[in-house]
Amino acid sequence: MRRFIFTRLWQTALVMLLVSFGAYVLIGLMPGDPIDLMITANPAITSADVARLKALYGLDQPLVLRWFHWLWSALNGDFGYSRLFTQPVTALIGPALINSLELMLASWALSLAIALPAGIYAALKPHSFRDYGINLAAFAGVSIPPFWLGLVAILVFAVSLHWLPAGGTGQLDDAQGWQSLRYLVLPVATLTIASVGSHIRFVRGSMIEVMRQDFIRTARAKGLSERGVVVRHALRNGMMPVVTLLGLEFGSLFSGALITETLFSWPGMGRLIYNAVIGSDYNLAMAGLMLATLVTLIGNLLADIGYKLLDPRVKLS
Amino acid sequence: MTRQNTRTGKPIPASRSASPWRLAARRFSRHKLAWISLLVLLLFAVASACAPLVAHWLGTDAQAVDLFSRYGPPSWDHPLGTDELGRDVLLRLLYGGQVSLMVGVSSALCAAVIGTFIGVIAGFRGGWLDGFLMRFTDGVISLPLLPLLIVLAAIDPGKLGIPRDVINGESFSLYRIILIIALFGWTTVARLVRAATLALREREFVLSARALGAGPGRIILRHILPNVVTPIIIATTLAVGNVILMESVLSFLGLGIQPPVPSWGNMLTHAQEFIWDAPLLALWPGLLIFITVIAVNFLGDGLQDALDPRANTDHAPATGQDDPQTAQ
Amino acid sequence: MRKFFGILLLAWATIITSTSLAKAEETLKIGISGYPETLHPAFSSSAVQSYILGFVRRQIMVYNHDWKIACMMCDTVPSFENGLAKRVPLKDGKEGVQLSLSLPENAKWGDGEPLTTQDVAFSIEVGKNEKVAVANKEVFNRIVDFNIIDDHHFTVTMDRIDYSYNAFLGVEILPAHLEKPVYDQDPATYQKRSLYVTAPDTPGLWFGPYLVKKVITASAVMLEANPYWWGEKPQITAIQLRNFENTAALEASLRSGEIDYTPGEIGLSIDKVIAFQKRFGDKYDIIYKKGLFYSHLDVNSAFAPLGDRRVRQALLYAIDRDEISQKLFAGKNTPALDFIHPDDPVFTDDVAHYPFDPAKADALLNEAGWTRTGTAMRKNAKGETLHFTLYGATESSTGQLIQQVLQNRWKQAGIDVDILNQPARVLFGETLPERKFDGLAMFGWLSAPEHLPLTILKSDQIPTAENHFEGQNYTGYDNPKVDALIDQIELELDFNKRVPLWHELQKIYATDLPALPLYHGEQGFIFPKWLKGIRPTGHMYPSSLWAEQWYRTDQ
Repeated sequence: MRRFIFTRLWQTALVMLLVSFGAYVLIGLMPGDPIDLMITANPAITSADVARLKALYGLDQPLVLRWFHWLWSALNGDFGYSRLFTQPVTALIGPALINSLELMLASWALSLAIALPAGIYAALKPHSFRDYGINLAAFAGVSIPPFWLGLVAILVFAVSLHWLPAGGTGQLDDAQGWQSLRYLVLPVATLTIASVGSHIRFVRGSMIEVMRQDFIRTARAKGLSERGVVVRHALRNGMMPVVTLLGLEFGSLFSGALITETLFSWPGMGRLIYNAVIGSDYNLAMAGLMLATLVTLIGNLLADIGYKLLDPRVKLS
Repeated sequence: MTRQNTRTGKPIPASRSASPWRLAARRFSRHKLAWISLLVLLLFAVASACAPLVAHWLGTDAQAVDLFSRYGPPSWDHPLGTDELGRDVLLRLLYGGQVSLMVGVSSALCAAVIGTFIGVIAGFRGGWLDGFLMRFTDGVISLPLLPLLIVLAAIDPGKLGIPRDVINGESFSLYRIILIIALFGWTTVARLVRAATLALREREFVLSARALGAGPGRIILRHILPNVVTPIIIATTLAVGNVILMESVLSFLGLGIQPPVPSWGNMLTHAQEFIWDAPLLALWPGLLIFITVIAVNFLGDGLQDALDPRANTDHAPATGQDDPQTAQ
Repeated sequence: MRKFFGILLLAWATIITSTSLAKAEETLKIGISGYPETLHPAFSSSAVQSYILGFVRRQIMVYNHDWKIACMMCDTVPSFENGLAKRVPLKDGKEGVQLSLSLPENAKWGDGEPLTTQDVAFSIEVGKNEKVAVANKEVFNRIVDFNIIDDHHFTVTMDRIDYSYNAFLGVEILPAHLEKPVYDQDPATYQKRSLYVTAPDTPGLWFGPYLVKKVITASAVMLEANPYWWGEKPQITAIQLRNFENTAALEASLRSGEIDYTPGEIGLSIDKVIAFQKRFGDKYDIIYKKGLFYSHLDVNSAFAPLGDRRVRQALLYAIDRDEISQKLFAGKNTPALDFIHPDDPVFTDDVAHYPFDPAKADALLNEAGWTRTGTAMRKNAKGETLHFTLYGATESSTGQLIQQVLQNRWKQAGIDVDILNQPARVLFGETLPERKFDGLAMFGWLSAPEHLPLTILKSDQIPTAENHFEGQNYTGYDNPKVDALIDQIELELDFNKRVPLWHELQKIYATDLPALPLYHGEQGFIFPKWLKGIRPTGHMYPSSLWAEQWYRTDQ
């Protein structure tokens, strides 16, 4: 086990290194550099200004050198300065991360709270009427273009009915307690509708699989009530793939939800990373991407470990 | 990847392939929703293919701008009305369908080819290559997908040595979308195929083929691929829906297929700007995307039941478990 | 399970029905689209930044609502006539101009410290420092001398005398008492350590009718009334500027009442405002303001078919710009004759006009050797099709509508046009400066009145690899007559003598068509009925610079 974790840890480090290089090069392949963007905004700028600005941002050096430089600073805990917002990267990521976590955790919890009972409920009688109903709902949720769903939600609940705010975090209106929850409703609902379907299908699938296993038949043969079979035997085994899923999705909690955040003016990681990438803000984009990647990799690792702990039959290679 | 579900790799020995397929067809025919879905998808495909005929019949073409009849109501000349530039909505939906379905299917197929290739090699060769490829797959999966798609969609292809006159063609944005979605979409297939290949590699019919002196290429082509085709078909079907959604999201960010080439995604995106004036304009493409994606999901589900009855539905629908954050 | 859903439902109901917030009525909420890179006035000059800073800072001079130079932080605009401007010999033997200016006597920073000539001196010191990358270095390069007379009077010497010699623009006053210690530590890193960056809510950084109270990066800026403001007291005591990255969301927030107002400078595009007016015009006041926004199609003259002037003229005859204006913009965004706005004092309409005239287009194209049979695309003698690409920015949805209309018209005239939209960073960062566009590129300029198109039309401003793609003459226009005219205009101080030169320049432009004029843009402002006093300017100096005149009628 220790060896396994050790091996996976250094592999994770290697992946991180490769990903960081890849991302850096990709951002560099985007046409035009940040200075070009400034030039177009300002007809009075001169070539001397351009040279000075390029030197200031280190853009006069080759890409690989800049990457090394970035890596070295990052390893020393210095993630540098955001060009887009002229602030230290860490000062930007902090609040965005909190906003994203709030949004993502809420929708994650809600999605699971719906998916677990619904998925199990459907799995207990596969191909029954209720199974079809739940499946239909699940498929419907994942099949709606997410920005369309968000926009319709805003039109209906904010513009027409005036029930809920159209966007923002509530921070701007000095909302407190219950009031600030109102701002969460629409974005969380949008996110949940988009994600609950795949959760339901996943839970249902793994429960159906488990219910077919021999040990369930044995338990039934021993005269255990159906309820007892489900609660005592099926759930524990059926939840293992779900643990895996949670591990895989762990990273998305930290990378935010770009579309939802954009529509609801929610200043989270999704928007931050997007703006950084589009604006060639290397320091910010790299810090955001690396954080999201690292957390995802850790999530995967935890999922593997969790899987092993829950299911002694699985051997870790 | 030990957590990879090895259940999906149920090998069907090649020699007995005829009757399982017939069995599968029978099982599929019982799946009513999948049938309806298949019919709906076929209907969409045929209708899209007939777009030029419809254009001829209506006596107009999809790009004919008429500023005197913007936001026109449905009429005999324009069965679904006209859009913000007075173009026929029905025709644009049909041509958009061509593009969206084409992008969906080609992208999913490209992803399947890449995924199969990597999966088979990893599973068959094993050892360090397997380890490397799977870590690589992990790496790709762990990337925040949307920002990277955005970077790729914004990269200057000229810097990669693609000739200018190719880049400047109107349909370049179309090929670009197909390619970049495929570049990230192959991971599901790769993992499924690898798991199946791993299981197959030690099976008697493979071992005996090897003992008879068959080369690795032959074994892969004759014995492995026919037996991993089931998970590939299912994953690819589901991916089509995912790609169509993804294209609409990229369009929303201004990086999808560029007008005047219509796609359901960019029609929906443009319509949302006019949602106050002409809500129906947003309804049609939204509805078509919704119906197509849901149909694809049901079809995938039905295929799963039919082709792989015992490994019941451990695939998540279109927004698969590999990229939960994708379309949000 | 039922219990669970019951709880969920209850929570939902509680959230929905909980009374909406007691509205902070005194706060004016403004929806904008965009967020500035920095709030430091010297390091960036985007439209969003100018708009936000308009509330909290003032310019020394501005163009006013009548598009004339006016004093804001000075007493009188200097001129040779009133004696406040003087010709002075410079060290290098050339002739410069010395301007005498005086700051308002009672001007104060937001912390009560007096605003003096020391602050101006510090601002110029920062701007001139080679180690500091201010946005408009050129302005500071022109300043050769600065003299403090007393706390409120100073003279400044510029290195040349041109027709805008008396416009002392572009120097942003910085608070020496707060920023000088930071700057003196290390000018090279000043940009990162400035209080504008580290503590933008410091009152002493601002001197407008409002102060920055709180900044939520990329989301919002909150403003409150400045107790030390020496001018007219603003009636509105608090302002909130909220950034929306999606215009549909901005519109929805306006409709749902979360924001009160969206300004034309950086709010909704004109076609959105027109559509909004159709639906909700009775509930809002909507103002349109003609602006110095010139939308046009740059022609790459290096691209053979378009190098022919007749083809360029035919392209204009073949499109119906009036129809676009009428049908897409409800009569707004009227077609442009050339790059000079009709409201500009140097404008003339005595230039070539290009109304929609397919017959003329046909004749010109035939004359240029591009003939057609039936409805086929035009071909020349070599059998090549008349084909080019029309570029644009993906960000501009309005532009994309226009592109498709143009494409359709040209198709009718037998010209085969592909549309290619690129992200703005690609279009302006590479395609245009490196002149990689094989055809036309559609974009617009926002400028000041009587702005000399020096970087746009002069032949030494053609971007090439040798000059590091400097200059904005993307069309590759090279006309010695125009070069000479521009030089003449720049140095002609007498407005009456300048006007004919301007007219001559417009005539050549409209005949040669280095770029195809589309329209002069307008801005649309959506006000709630109770908000009054906002006066759009139509140029790069935003309406927020006069924010103290805004008031509401519902209180």
